[in-house]
Amino acid sequence: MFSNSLAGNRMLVNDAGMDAHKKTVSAERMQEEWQEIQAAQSNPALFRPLYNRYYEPVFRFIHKRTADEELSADLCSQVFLKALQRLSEYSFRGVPFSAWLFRIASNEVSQYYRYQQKNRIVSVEESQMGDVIDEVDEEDNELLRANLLLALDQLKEGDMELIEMRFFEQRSFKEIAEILGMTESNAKVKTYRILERLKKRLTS
Amino acid sequence: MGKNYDIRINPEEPSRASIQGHMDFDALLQKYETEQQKGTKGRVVKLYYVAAAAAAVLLLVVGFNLLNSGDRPLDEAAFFAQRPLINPPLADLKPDFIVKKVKVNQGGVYEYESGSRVVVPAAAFMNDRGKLVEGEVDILYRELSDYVDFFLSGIPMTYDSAGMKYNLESVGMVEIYAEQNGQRLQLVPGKTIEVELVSLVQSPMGLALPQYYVYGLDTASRNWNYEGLNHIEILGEALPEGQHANPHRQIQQQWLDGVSALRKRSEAALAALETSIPLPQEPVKPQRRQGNQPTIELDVADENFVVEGVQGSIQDWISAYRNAIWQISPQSPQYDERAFQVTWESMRLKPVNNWDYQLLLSSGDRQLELVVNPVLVGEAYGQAMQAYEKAYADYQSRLAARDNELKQQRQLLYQERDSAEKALMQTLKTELASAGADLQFDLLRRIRSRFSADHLGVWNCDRPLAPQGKSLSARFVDEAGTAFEPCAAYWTSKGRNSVVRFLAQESAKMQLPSEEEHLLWLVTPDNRLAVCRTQELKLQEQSGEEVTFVLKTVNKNIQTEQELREALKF
Repeated sequence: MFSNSLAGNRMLVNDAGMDAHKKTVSAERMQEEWQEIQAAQSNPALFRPLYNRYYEPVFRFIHKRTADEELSADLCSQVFLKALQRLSEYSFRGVPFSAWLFRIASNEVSQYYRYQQKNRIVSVEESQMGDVIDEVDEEDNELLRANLLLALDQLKEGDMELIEMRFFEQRSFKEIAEILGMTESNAKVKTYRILERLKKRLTS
Repeated sequence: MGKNYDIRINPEEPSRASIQGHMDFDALLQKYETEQQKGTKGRVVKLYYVAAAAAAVLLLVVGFNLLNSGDRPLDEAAFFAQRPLINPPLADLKPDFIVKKVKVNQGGVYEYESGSRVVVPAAAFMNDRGKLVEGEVDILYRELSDYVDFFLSGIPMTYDSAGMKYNLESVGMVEIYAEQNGQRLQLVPGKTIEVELVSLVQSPMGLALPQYYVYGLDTASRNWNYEGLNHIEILGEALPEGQHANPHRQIQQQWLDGVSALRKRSEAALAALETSIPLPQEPVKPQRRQGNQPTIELDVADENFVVEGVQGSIQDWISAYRNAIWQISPQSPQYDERAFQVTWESMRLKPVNNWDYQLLLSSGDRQLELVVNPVLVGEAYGQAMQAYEKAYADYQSRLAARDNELKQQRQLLYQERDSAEKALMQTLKTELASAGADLQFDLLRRIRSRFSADHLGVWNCDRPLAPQGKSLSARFVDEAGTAFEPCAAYWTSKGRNSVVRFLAQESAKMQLPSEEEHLLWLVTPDNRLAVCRTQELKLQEQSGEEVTFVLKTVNKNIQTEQELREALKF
């Protein structure tokens, strides 16, 4: 009576929900968030939804740079305290609020290492090392990975931050630009140049 | 470890639960508040010596002024600024709130005796620390309708705009609060409570209502905030109560009944007109098959295939959908792919709308329900689009012809109604004239104001009126001629739904519209009411520049709203 023609078709309906790992926000969402920020500017108690939303990403951002849960919690608390204290100065410039928080977090981490006079921790997944090696067009092997670690250790703080965000935290150039306060194309050019330098060191 | 960085490979990541365990917004807020206070204390210390010097200079200036001030009148703004913004003058006699419970996760619609309605959204309340509350919340609601209500509530009815003071004439005011366990709550930013406020307005017959606005009381800035226009809907008209002495009431009532019946007939005729010419049926636009959605083929001409509930003839439907294939909608219930290996004995197809069809397959005890959409492919789609475009053009022209016809017939109905209303008005004029009366009388209109409240508190549907009339220098004495100590006093004009609060003292500056009837009163220190009635006011106004208002003390303690209304009658 009837026949189906299912060949090549996916039977399951795709989940239309947002990707949980999506790190960019729409202009509409930013506008909504700006209203929340304005409410919090007049009443700090209204900062709670922003705190609840961004605590975990900021915590993870710090933990990647400290690898210490208690220290991350202390610094994270400091980041949100500073954010609350400076909230009245915050104005919307078309950039997600999270970028502003990550920038405060980055400064807090730098300040911590400056005072402690310790080497900053950089957290890397093994697979992400392979991504950097792919980018510099080299064939992945143990020796190259060891050399890459040495080459990374030579990077300036600003260059390390770019590589870290792009490859070890898988952030888009847009988001990196928003956090570091530069243009997207500038973030791309800088990353390309750092990769070129890494390549030179790996092949020399 | 490197020279510059401590690079860690595959470090352990904390779990989400573990991160959440570190979250404590209340502690953060407390720390923030403590830091803020420390900052203030620091500034206090730094400013200590400067402040001491400034205080010495200030003392000198104040002392000098006091010595030279004599009986200088108090500053009215400063007088009221030192008192609560909402200051009920009779503490034991405040309008009651109606309390209704709302389940926070559901919200609700609440109707009141007046006909007013309040729509509370779900998840709309938070505590004063910004935390969403759960469970049940009390919604406290009260309506303030006339000058007695406004006076009792202690809510100021003046609006300061760029230094200019206006008196607010209201067509209805509401106070809405939310409480949980006796604690006042706030509305979550972005949430609004929809209010439909039904109230009565007395205004001259034959005149449209003036434009009214919506204002919210901002207790922080101690002023009203303009929130938007008030779109008023008139629900009904009647003659005001308490006009039994009105000798022309019967004539006026006959006219009003005639107008009311005429409008009802007219509305019914307009409603009937809309259905008198059938709406042409819009053709359904053919849809092309979407790439990744599964499809099935159904033989719609098969005798075992049942189609239910289609508009128009079934033959037309079959010929329109003969070439269609049926795409399974993303909204379809879940199904097992093995269902396509089953030979189904019967199929029923039923339209849900122009696009979705419910397909019911059955075989013995087994049943499968799907939502499917008719789609076309290849040449069939092109042909169907051509037919659709032609049918759509035809539909548009039939729709335009219908609209045109309806417009003309509506116009005729309006003309008939207008001329019938004119005839009723002419009869009213003639009858009133023969009874020796003119056409001026008031109507009581039942109106509905709608607005969205984005915060809890006081909301007023009103219009600001600039002070009008004669500027007076006034003094206020009791019947024995003794001046009252400076205190808050109130006046209202007949027909103006407002109360003006002012400072009654020697040489008080006032502005009263001289052509209207007024009522002026105050609450004495022993909590009695002292009132000056219209007639006395008029007499006093004629006596010159400096006006003395003689207020008669009401000889009993006002204990009920009814007693108060009696005392404050015009």
